[in-house]
Amino acid sequence: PLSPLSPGSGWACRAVLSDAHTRTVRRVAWSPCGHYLASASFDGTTCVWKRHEDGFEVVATLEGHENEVKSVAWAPSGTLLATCSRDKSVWVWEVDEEEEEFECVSVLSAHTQDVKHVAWHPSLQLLASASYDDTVRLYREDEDDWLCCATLQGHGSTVWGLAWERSGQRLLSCSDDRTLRLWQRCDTQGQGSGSEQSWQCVCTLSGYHGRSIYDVAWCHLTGAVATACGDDAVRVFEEVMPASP
Amino acid sequence: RFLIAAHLSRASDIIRTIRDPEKPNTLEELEVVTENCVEVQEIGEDEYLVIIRFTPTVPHCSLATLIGLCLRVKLQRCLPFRHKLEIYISEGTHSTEEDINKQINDKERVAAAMENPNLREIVEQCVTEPD
Repeated sequence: PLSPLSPGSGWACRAVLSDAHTRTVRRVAWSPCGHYLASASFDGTTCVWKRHEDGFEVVATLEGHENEVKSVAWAPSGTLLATCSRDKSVWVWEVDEEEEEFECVSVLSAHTQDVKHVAWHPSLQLLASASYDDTVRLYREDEDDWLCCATLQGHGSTVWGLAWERSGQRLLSCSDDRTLRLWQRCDTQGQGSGSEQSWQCVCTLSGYHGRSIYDVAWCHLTGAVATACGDDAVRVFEEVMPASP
Repeated sequence: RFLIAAHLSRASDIIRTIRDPEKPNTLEELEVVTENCVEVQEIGEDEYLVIIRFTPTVPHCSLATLIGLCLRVKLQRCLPFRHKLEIYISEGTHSTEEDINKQINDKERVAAAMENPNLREIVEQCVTEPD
């Protein structure tokens, strides 16, 4: 058994923010700077809270999705936010840090079914989305507008979660089809080679999970991958490196 | 083996009295569910997979998903043993059966649907045992 790292003396509940949403809160995400918290809800809105010494205050309510918001994610730069919904769309919001204002700069309707999750690339302004339509899509900004630059097909059912590798070179997706898929870009890395990017599935992990895989997390420190599965188990995977000659 | 038979029987008892959302009959009376539509498999220690294959009376999409919802809700509440549940429209009985099966087995879709007060009301009426 692992020993705990410097245990504190417990946890205290600092705030209960119960008046902003009128339905299930599905996802929460801290901003990279730590001052803001975004909450995505089945009520169709995403609230952005500012953290103060004595509590939290709503600084913005992002509206527009037609039904349940399933996920929200901050770009590592802190200047962009993405939300996704059962309405099949992904929205990209620009953050004006000084004014604490959020402006929708793009509504991306590439998916043909609910979008379950969105995840930003660790260093580039590249966004990935996972959908009930069994695909993963990637989006990037091209001359002031956002567009879908790749569609990753291969899963046999709903894609529930996504996790980027620390380097950003590979992306993991987990699915209702009980597999994990690893994706890697395979065209030349040039930026100007048209709007499309080519990605291929370089590895499929099947036979490990007994039921739908709902989430996947890729540790940026150790490279370990953890999965959340409907068969009541947590699994941890590590890449096996070839032995040095 | 005995346990599987007992669990199967229990599941059948639970679903046969569910009322149809539109007609004043039970799912058993309308032959939406039958004795053969329940399958139980052992998937772990004291854990069982319960599979239901139901036959909707009409090919109406929303009604089929509603029945699927009622089946899921009542079984989840009433099955006394640790289980995982899969609910399907029996093969060949519906033109959009893949679409419906996907919906009724997506736990997020199900949870969101049950937050709709109108839908919830209908489901409750269908699954509540009369006094």
